[in-house]
Amino acid sequence: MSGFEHRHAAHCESGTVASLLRHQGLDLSEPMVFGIGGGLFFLHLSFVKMGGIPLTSYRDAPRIIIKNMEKRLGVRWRQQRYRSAETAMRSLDGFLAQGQPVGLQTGIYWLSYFPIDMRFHFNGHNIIAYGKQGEDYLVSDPVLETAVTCLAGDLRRARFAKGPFAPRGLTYYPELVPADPDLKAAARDAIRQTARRMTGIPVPFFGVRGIRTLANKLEHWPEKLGTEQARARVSSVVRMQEEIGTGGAGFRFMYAAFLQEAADLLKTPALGDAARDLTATGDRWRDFAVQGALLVKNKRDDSATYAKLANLLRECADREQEIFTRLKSIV
Amino acid sequence: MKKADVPQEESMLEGHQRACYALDEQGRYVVVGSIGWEVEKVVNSQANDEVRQAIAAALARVRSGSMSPLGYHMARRQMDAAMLSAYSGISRLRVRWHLRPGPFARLAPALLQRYAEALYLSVDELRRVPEGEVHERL
Repeated sequence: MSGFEHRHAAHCESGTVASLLRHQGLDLSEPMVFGIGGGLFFLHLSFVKMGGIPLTSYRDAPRIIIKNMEKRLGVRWRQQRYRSAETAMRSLDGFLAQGQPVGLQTGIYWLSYFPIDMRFHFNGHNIIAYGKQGEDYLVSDPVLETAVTCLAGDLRRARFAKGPFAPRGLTYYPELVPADPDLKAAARDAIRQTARRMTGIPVPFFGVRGIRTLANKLEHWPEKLGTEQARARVSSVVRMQEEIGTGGAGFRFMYAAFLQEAADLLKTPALGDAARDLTATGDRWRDFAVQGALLVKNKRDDSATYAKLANLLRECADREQEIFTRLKSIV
Repeated sequence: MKKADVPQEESMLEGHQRACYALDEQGRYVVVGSIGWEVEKVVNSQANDEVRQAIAAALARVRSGSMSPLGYHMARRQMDAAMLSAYSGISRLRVRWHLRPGPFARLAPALLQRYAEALYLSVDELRRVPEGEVHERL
């Protein structure tokens, strides 16, 4: 197997999985992989802090897309972690010598092909190694527009980054890809589950309830934490939504693209309507990001600005509640 | 978001492009490259300013003699004691102890070597801090 083809993607996990599957003969778009992978979600956990900032996520747990490819499409993965970096790099060379591109979990901080201002300690970044050039590696990083060369030392450090979500050299590739999986059933099942998770988890941290919790908390950040800390938190929410490669609006546009494809696949125009409405909701999320950034930039810390942000979030929650409730009855 | 509305503004992407999903003229989703968005730049700068301030504060403390150079290099790698402990395999308490100038100066070469590897520096670099003003984040 050779002739690996790089494709630019919005998100690292859906991009990596789509490329690996395509290389093995199953050509699905990134939104299709993201949708069937059940990537879309929302959570706000005020009691889980990273660097003093509560965890907000617009997507489900790392590696959920990989797992759902197995569950919904019958893809069988080979996955391996390693104790030592030496073994891990030797093993990688072995895969590449056989012409097998592999997915790797990495810590983005150590990847010097990224601009310096984008390098933070985040250990859930997925890339594909597909060849070697001397000592260094040919890497398809889905969030970049072209393939890159990654220094051997960088890759080694990134694969053995430490701290939360330490990759421990995780290497994966699809061992078995069904030639003709039941995409219709998979899409239906995925939409149903995402809709349930967005609207049906009876604790205030997940799905639309999580969005409302964030709205309620955000409104009180300035008086509770002081203006500086409040600004830092608004900034971090906007970063999770827009800066980390979501395709825009915290994955909402990419999910709408999936619904659009699913509408054709299932010959269900109502899914197309849902895609249109989710796009409009994504535009509201973008408004939230714009207002949030204005607050951070101009240091406009009056309570009216925070109230406005909270209301935008509530509007997004209401719209998504309606859309995902409707989706349950459509599929 | 429509294709024409995908922001093409100066940003921290340094010429790279970010893939965005947007609607074409027929109302179908397509991937559109974006060279950046002011919004992203603002929140990215906020995060980087925090890193730079932490580095500057650490450097000041090292120069005033209240912290060892280890503290500066830790900040420069965006690490705290817990993360440096995870990278070096040296317990968090000992890392904290070595942030003091005295204990750091007396460190055994083997431990210095472990810190240097964890921070991706030479032992020589680890033992000192740069002169003058520091602008670089790394």
